[in-house]
Amino acid sequence: MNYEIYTVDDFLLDDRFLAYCTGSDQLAVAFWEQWQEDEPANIHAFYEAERLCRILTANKPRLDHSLLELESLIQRQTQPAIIRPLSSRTSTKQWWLAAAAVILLSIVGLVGYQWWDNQYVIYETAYNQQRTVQLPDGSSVVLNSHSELRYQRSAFSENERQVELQGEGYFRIRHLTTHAPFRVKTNGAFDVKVLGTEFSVYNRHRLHRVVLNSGKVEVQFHDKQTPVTLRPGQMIEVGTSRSSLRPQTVTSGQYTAWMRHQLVFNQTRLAEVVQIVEEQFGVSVQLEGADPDLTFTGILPSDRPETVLQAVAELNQLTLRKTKDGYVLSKK
Amino acid sequence: MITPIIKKSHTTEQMPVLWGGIRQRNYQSLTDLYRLSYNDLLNFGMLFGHSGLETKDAINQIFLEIWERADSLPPVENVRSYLITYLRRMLLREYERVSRLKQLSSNETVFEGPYEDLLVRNQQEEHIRQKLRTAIEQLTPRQKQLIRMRFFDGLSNETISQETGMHINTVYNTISSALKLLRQLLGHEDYYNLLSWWPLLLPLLTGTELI
Repeated sequence: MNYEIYTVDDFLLDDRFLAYCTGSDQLAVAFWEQWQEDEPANIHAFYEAERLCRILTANKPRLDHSLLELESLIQRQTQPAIIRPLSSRTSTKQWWLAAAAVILLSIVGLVGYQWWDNQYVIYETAYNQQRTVQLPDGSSVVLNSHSELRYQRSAFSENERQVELQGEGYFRIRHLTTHAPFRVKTNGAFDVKVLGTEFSVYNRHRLHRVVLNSGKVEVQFHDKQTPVTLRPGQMIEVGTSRSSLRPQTVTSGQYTAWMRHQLVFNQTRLAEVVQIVEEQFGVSVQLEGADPDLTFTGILPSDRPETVLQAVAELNQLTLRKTKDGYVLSKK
Repeated sequence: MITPIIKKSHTTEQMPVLWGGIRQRNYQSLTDLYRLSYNDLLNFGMLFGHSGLETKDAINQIFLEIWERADSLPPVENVRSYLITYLRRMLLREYERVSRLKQLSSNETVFEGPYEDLLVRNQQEEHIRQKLRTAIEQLTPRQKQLIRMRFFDGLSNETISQETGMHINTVYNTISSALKLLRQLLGHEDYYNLLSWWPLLLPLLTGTELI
């Protein structure tokens, strides 16, 4: 099939396209997502077809999204948190010694070079913006909205790699032949130390979280001696009602949904939903008479704050109002 | 012209097998049954007057409950009607909870809700709602029926052809002509505005005698 010459109508009459639009067939979804990535010339016809398809299907929630939601509900309900034995501490101490030695050596180095070497390289994103950052060691980080990643040039060496994160980022860390660990420092509750792996870190003022996708990471709490090791699919969260210093098993898809420009809520308290929307879009959201303990579950596109808040309002019998400073959710 | 809300098809035959699988805690059976019945149940809830999101949440709650008590599930012959009864109870419970229960509750039989209303009601933006209402009014009954089968029931062109007895080419042409009209009225906003506004400028161009 030559989809590159398809018109809006051609797409809408194509069965595979319909299966993508309703999310009823995984293969069709995968096919069209891949197809879009090559940005064919008629991509706007495709988008328009998708928009009309949403309208004509009465905005039904897509099957694949709903199933994903069900799966995470089931997982949360049926799998208790797993308590992991803690990993050895001696290696950490040795590592600290090694790191201290490296720092000492670098102090002895040329002052000019040192100055240059210690300058921070800073990457920032605005509200509702994402960017991918390539690091000197070949690792990459996808930065979510309103986030900052910075590192000193000196922090990438054969023996160590270190960055500092504010906000939220998804890390793909290359394993180096020197086995140099990679460290994500935060000003929140913990640092994360890894060898080579994929994981996401969330570090904003009230909530700190790390979710591991693959490999192995060690979470080192700022106020505790013992670090905690995470296995794939596990999470540590600090600063919410679900907080625990023990790893919890989660569906990691929920925590990387922002990379697909989605916000996923899973029995999330209204107060937290509001906080997430504020941090994603940089807007202020007030609750007027609305119960902050109401919970909300759903997957929503993260392109506009109105879309998200409107859906939340509709499901909780609230009214959404736009004011000059932001939004107000009030009781009907 | 009235099509049944939910069509029985060969998929309903697989359901008892999947139900058996779920009772033996086979997770794949659960997701397969979900895939088979999702659209069916969603349409049911939406035709009953609930929003897509509300219905979806109720469906997920049902499947969650089914999975939680998989070991003690009763054997069920007609899985489809079991799920629909379950959904209806779930949605009524929700209705009562938010106390906007109207006359709907006591109705044991399901009426075919006007599909056009449902379609318009479920649009988020007011200007789309208005345009859609105008657009649908201009469709022929045949076009309306096929647009519904294609997008609301999510049927393939082949299946539509089989169910209506129309030739596949006629199915294509009918949907295609309906889409042309819908696109004209629901097309991109700027484009639409441009087309609808420029005739108003004509009097200015041709002199003021028309005003």
